[in-house]
Amino acid sequence: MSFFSTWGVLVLSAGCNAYAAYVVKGRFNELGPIDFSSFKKLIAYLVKFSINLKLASGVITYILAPLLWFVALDRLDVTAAYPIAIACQFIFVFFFGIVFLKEELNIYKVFGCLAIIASFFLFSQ
Amino acid sequence: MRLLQVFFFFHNSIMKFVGTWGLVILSAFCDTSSAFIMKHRFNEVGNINFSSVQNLYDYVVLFMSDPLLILAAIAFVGGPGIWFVALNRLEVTRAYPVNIAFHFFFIFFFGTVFLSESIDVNKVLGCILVFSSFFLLSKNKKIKNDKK
Repeated sequence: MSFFSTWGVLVLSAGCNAYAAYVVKGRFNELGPIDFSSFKKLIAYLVKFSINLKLASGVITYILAPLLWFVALDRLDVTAAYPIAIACQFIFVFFFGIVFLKEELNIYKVFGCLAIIASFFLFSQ
Repeated sequence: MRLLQVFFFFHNSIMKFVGTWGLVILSAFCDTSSAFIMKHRFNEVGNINFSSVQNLYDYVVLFMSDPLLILAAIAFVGGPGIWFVALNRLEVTRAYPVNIAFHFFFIFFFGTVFLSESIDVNKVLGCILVFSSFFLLSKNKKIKNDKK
């Protein structure tokens, strides 16, 4: 089994997941806080939120991500694949968040993510 | 008067927490609890029977006969909805890792409480790390509620 059809698919799955989160967050940044003041305003917000081409691409990757994950899981051990998938998701989320959404990268975020990856290794022992 | 100010400060802080990080944690809880209920039901009913359409139909009817599955369905649909509201109020680079961390924690919690899996030093340390990561990621940053 070639590297691209195993780990490559896994990395692509993590990328799709993170891209979907980035697109949703990006759309929220464009529209501002959800308006819960009335049902009509909430529906208007959701309609405005949904009509967007970029969001459609996010929906496609949101559906594609678990399918790719299952393909990767079929070819790899879950104990090896899962931590790498989580780590890749963090890398992609940070990449999209910092580069495209201009979110701040600080020492707390880096150590926070390292603690989560370490906790996963402890749970899976 | 001073006491009232202190009360409102704590009240506002708690409400702010519930409306942001509380939603992230609740979304992870919904996700994991729905998966746990589904898995529990699969264990009860056995493997999916694909041998014929009638058998598959019978399997689905039997599978759906548990009222707990309604809760699982609500949690399954509600989880992403709650997650999106949380994402609306927090940075993705902080909310996403915390969401993942609480998935680990709830899987451990459900496994220990309902499946009577053992608690060992590694799992306790894992929990401590999850909560440490939560405090690190939620540290010293105002909530982003303003339109960018």
